[in-house]
Amino acid sequence: MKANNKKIRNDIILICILCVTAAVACFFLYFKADNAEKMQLQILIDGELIETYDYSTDEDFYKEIALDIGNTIVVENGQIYMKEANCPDGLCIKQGEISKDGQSIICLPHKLVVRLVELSRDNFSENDGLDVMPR
Amino acid sequence: MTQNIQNKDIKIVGKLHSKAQFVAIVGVMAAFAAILSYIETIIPFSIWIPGVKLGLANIAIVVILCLYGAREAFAVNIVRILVVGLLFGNMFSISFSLAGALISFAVMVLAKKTDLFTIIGISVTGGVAHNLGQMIVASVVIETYSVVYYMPALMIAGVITGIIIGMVGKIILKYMTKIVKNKR
Repeated sequence: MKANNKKIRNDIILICILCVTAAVACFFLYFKADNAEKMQLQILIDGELIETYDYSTDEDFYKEIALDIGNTIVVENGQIYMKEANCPDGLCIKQGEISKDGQSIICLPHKLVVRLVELSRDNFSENDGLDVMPR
Repeated sequence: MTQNIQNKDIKIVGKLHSKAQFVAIVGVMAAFAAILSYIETIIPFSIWIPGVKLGLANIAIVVILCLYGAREAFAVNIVRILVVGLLFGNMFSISFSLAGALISFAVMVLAKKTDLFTIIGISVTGGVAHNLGQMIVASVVIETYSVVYYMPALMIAGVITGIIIGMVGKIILKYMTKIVKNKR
């Protein structure tokens, strides 16, 4: 019985550690660069940078980007979202709007990544990530 | 009373003596896991984050891992993924779920080996490992590291689904233990 209580305690410790790790990771990932001035909208297919657009937070800025692979990306009121997609799961549409540095919309069936990158962090393009990001 | 049952839960209860027993139990549990996988496709539990699943099939895996051992659980895992993948998916989904399942399975076996956790703890490590594993595979496939931004959400989701799966698995393990003990 004693051993069992210990195991339940271990369970709780494990869950707490995982939650704290997630919270710390969350803090580092989301709250580091909130108001980046100049951001760039990058479209990657299969890891390669296909197109880039200047990102504008203007209220009445509207742009629709249609890709050959069947995805339509919309920039509206400073929010970027996937309007249409012909992938089977449609998860990229459900991912909603992005507007901050580092955020991305990912369509796995098409190997498509739409991401916002702060211009000063320009080295974060293409395969440079291999050296920078932890694995 | 409840403490008594909990005590029994942790030990490996059964030992498979013959090949026939092995085939029979693996077959039954794989069928159970396949049905759970199918039920999961019916339940609309698709969060906007790619890679997050309820992981109902993990109930069968955790139970057999605690009831028998890693060898039996591995067999159930492989059979389940192939059957479900061929019935409802394609090669793409098979390779994806295979990656997630194998990573989560390896971590669960380690968690079981340390003998530190109850079935709930094992299931939580499995859930988190599954989600993180799929995230890593996804980041390799699309060659981007933007997926790292989903990490916290995936971890929390893994913990929550892991607790649910572990609790259900605990109840099932209780009855399975009784059955296995009566048979001997």
